Amino acid sequence: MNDSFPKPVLGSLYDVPETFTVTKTRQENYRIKTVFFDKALPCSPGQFVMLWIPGVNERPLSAYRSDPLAITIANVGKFSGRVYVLNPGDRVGIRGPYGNRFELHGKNVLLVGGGYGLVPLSFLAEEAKKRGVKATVVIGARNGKDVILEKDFEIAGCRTFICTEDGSRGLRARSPDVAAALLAKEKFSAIYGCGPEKMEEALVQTARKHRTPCFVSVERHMKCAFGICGACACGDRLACAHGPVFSAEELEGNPDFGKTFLDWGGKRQSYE
Amino acid sequence: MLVTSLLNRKLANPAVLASGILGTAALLLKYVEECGAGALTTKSCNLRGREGFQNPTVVSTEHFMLNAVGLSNPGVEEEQETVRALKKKTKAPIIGSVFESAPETFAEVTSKLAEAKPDFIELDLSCPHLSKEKGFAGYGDFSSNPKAAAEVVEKVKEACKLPVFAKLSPNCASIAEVAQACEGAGADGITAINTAKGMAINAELKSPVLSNKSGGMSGPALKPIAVKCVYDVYGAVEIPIIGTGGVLNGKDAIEMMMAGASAVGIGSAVYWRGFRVFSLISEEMRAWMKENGYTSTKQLVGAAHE
Ligand SMILES: Cc1cc2nc3c(=O)[nH]c(=O)nc-3n(C[C@H](O)[C@H](O)[C@H](O)COP(=O)(O)OP(=O)(O)OC[C@H]3O[C@@H](n4cnc5c(N)ncnc54)[C@H](O)[C@@H]3O)c2cc1C
Ligand SMILES: Cc1cc2nc3c(=O)[nH]c(=O)nc-3n(C[C@H](O)[C@H](O)[C@H](O)COP(=O)(O)O)c2cc1C
Repeated sequence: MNDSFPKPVLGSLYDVPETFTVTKTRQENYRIKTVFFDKALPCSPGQFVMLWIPGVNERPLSAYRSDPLAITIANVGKFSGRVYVLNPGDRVGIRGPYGNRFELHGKNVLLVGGGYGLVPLSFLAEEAKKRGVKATVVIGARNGKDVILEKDFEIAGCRTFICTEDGSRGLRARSPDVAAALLAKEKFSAIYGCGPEKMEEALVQTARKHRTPCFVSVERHMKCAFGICGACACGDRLACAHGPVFSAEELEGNPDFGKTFLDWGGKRQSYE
Repeated sequence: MLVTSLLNRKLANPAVLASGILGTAALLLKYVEECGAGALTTKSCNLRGREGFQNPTVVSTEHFMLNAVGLSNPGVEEEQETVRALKKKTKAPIIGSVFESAPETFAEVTSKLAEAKPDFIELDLSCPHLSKEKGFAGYGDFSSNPKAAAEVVEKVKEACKLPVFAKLSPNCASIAEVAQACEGAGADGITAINTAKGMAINAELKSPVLSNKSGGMSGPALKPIAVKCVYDVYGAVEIPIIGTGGVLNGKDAIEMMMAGASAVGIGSAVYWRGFRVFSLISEEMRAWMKENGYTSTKQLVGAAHE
């Protein structure tokens, strides 16, 4: 297991929320919105911020864009429900960025995402375009209504495959299976995955089989986000400070990846 | 040179992981040992476990960290498993940390955790977040009151044979008196200190930042408070002290030992210097001791009292 020194634990020297104001919002589907803020926050694809709504909660959210800062929220619970209804002029607290980033390797990459996992991948696709890296994306969703950010990948010049669980749009398949089919025919310099952990686990296995470098973003409950509290433990790694992006090699033998996580109180729970 | 005795145990070096930092899982604690810790304190647990507070729970600035995690823990039964798993993996002594809301339940949770055979028990008598919660009212923070602290220690010592450290708070009139009361009640050692009470407010949002509003302050700004507390406790008791609070480097650790600490707790420093802070502190201590003619950590303990 890689035992490298954590990347920037010191994302900034002032890890208290700074005030950001919403400038606009954009509907992505029936329950996902992108929220744009008034300021830039230097950050990279894969990194996340801690967004705080006083009296509600503070949660990790992937950076969607850096300048100005934007995030994309899926309305699934109390906190995300409140982020979802933010309006221009509303103010929130933001600290970060935290964690490491997706690093582009080679000139022909494969992006595989499900749900809001497509958020950092959209940011990565934009960077790939700027750097002249060819990108193929597999957008996974439960059904056609759930597909998001298709337009972003088009603007970034990606070759796009859409797949849904019920076949209501694109292929009727799970995203790791689409990735496996592509890998059987073509070579990619690297694979980047973000989505439900079971999907990431399947993707990592496929990538290993095809001996292609693979990086996935690991999601855990987070409290400090800077490597102190241990809430986001995944094996002997912390999702916030060693990750959230891990290579397939780093995850090899990790007993928690795809299997278990700590709930808010620190009880071990299973992904089954 | 750095080998340190703590009661009946030997530590490879005096840098002890403090409770609540990275202590959520056995593999993580094992990683902290690989990063150079001489002993490992587990995250405080109670009988039934706690969810803890909602976020924001931990924030930090250049000079201090502020937390109100709210003692989230999975409960003593899962914590026993953590200690058992850890014992199989590590050489470093394990300090099992516990808290509860009354002396009787403190005794109960201690004897439960003791079944997993950690090397020491640490009683978190001093968490600053719980005083206003139901069930904790009336006691507040046990260690702000010598009688309340002694009562817990006495009940725990009746129930458990393992050596017991009483972890004390700076949020009291006289920490020396509390330490003395704990020693009188049978405590085998003192851990000093827990965090100091603090608050941060976001001006634009007109709101305290922590969801619990107030929390405990740790990190560099805590160091002078901790050094003074350890100095006072050393003057008042014979039992060993784990000196904790704001230690970032080898020189800080030496300062803490000269104030009277036999070993040094390291917590928030992980934020300022990364996971390897434990090895770094050992290396820095070794270099300083060599340069200044010390051959054993024993010579440092209480040196500033001479
Ligand atoms: C590094 C990192 C990056 C993240 N990036 C994003 C992001 O870009 N956008 C985003 O929306 N969230 C993101 N999250 C998740 C986010 O932090 C919250 O967990 C999420 O907003 C739900 O919080 P809540 O309090 O609203 O819901 P909770 O009350 O925590 O959950 C409500 C219910 O919804 C379920 N649920 C949670 N997520 C989903 C989901 N995706 N689909 C269906 N059900 C779900 C939960 O299991 C629960 O049953 C990220 C998390 C991490 C660790
Ligand atoms: C995030 C966090 C969680 C903590 N949790 C506990 C705990 O569960 N039990 C305890 O006795 N002390 C807890 N503490 C206090 C530390 O063990 C230590 O006494 C204090 O932080 C001062 O040391 P430091 O400045 O080296 O961090 C916690 C501290 C922090 C920062």
